[in-house]
Amino acid sequence: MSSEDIILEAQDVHKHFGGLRAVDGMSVRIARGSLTAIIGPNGAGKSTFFNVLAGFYPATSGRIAYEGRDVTKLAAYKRCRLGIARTFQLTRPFARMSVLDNVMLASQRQLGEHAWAPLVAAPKVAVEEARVHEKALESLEFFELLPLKEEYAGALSGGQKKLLELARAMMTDPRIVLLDEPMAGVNPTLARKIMEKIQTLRRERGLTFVLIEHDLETVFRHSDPIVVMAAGRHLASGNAGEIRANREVIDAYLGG
Amino acid sequence: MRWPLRWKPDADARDWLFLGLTVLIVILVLGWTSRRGGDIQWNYLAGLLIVIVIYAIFALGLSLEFGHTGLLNFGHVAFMLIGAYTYGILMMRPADRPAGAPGIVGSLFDAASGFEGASAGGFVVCALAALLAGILVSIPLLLLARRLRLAPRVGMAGALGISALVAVGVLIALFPLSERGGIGAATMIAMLLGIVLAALAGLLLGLPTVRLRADYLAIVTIAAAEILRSVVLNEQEWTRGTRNIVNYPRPLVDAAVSSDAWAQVSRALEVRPASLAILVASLVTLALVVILLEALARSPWGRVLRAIREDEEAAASLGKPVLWSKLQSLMMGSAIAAAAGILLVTYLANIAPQHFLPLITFYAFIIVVLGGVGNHRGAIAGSFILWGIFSLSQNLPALARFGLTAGPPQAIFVGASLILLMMFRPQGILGRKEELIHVK
Repeated sequence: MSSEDIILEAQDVHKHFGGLRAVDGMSVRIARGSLTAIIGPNGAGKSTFFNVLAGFYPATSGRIAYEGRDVTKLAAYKRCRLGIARTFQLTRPFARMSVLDNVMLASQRQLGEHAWAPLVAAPKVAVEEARVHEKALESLEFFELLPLKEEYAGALSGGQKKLLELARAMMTDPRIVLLDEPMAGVNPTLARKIMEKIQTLRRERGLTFVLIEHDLETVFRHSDPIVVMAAGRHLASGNAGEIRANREVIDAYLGG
Repeated sequence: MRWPLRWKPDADARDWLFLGLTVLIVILVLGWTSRRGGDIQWNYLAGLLIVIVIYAIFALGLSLEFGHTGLLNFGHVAFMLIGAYTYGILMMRPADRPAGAPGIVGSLFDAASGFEGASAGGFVVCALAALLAGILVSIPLLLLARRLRLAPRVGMAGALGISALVAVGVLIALFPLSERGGIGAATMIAMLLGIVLAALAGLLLGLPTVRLRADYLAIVTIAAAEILRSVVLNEQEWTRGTRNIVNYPRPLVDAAVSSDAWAQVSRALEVRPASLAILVASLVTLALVVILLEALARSPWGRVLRAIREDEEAAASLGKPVLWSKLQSLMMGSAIAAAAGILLVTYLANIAPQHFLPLITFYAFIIVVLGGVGNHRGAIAGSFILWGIFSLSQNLPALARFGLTAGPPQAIFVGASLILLMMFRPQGILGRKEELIHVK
């Protein structure tokens, strides 16, 4: 694999909370267009690692490079602007905003988000809003949330909130999407649907996905490569067959 | 097209209707209860309306910070104080100046009264000189900002802000207007400076504190406001402390009193000319603030603020600059509070530290909650209701019959009314009940 194909790379990333070494020297290289799964036992540091990748926790040490650029010290919102989107393990909708507003908000580089623009460039902002609105409707349609667009996001069901987070993440026009347990607590039919959506986006837009997931059936069927984390470290990586056969992984996580 | 053409017919019409009804009912009740011998006391009513409108403006600043951005700012009154005192200090008359007052105290007044003999041509020359000075100052500042590697927006805003201040300073220094016009213009500038300073103070207070979670922010802001009031109380060479600032020029009042036409209008309405002028000025300010806030609330900018109110980490994950947005909200809310403060001391004709007790902030909170959190029109309705309850408790004949006219019984009446209102309408007058369900 040549280095141009790597979209996101973590080198020896540490995240310590006092004495707790949640992430303890994790390294990973995410290939462009891949659907990389990160699996591992509870407390392995997967979500913390995600938070470091997305910029929510500053790394204690180590280096994160995105598109060849060092982003280790970059704030979370700036990483999003560069094209790193994420969803949360426990969904975080903007509860007292409509579903539509949740998605429209996620559009990047909106002129109207500058305080002066709505006052001095109202017509421009209105044109932009119309465009964002159109795009949000498309996104809602893709994720089958269109009939709910005027509902408060807080009123959605658990599964619908998962879809809303995906719709929001897609609205940011990302190049890579970090999904923290996108299928957890979702019924099997919806989980399958979410997976289909992800595969469609990968195929049609060439997006890269990284997901943390405990539903191993899904992971083994769809993901390549699979990265196993344990005790804050990289334990193994490879395709489904290799991981299933790996002795260390069986001991640490899969059970035997 | 959603914005600015996003007019939600049902919700908006309902809000305006409720607001109109609230205003109408409160005015009717106040007029009825304050009548003396069958005559409605129009002047009393006008005075009350001025206070209601000023508090509505003050609460609108908080509505932006708290209702839309979720910032629990318990020190809102501090910015009202900054607006009022900046105006008072810069326009203090020489005779009122405390011994040992620093040069800046009363300086605008001095600058304005030093010039006699106006000429329009001279004014243009001065304005051009000021513009030139501003440009000359801005160039090295912009270069400096670049050298310091400030974010382009911050550097640009800072440099242009300072340059604008310099330009204003030059303009004042060269002001070749007659004394009267000079004082009027200087007062306007003092007021503007008060608003700008309050916004900067909001930025200053916000920079270290807006990272704090809601309750901690509340503690820090209430402490900051009380410290500021204490400073104003004690730094007597600047503020005259407990002796208050009085006799500062109020061009609006002067103009109203000296105009014959205005006197006729006032007489017809049975209101003192000065009160009528201040009422009109307050209403105009209120209208401007509401238009500004409504335009912003419906814009993508307002959407970002509401997202931050709901969940700032999620907002950051979607590329929104949480810190900067909060600071903008705090600055704008503070500027609005300063405008309210300036109107208040224009009405009261004296500036005293005890006008700015923490209680005033909590009045604003009551107003925002009564009206419906996150609804600008609600803040106006809330102010009418709060002051309606206040004056009812003073004037209600039924209470007076039992000798309950002042002190504790009044507080009990006010408290009980607020509790009842919140029990029967927990979302506030114009709030959305559905939103209560989704509060975390």
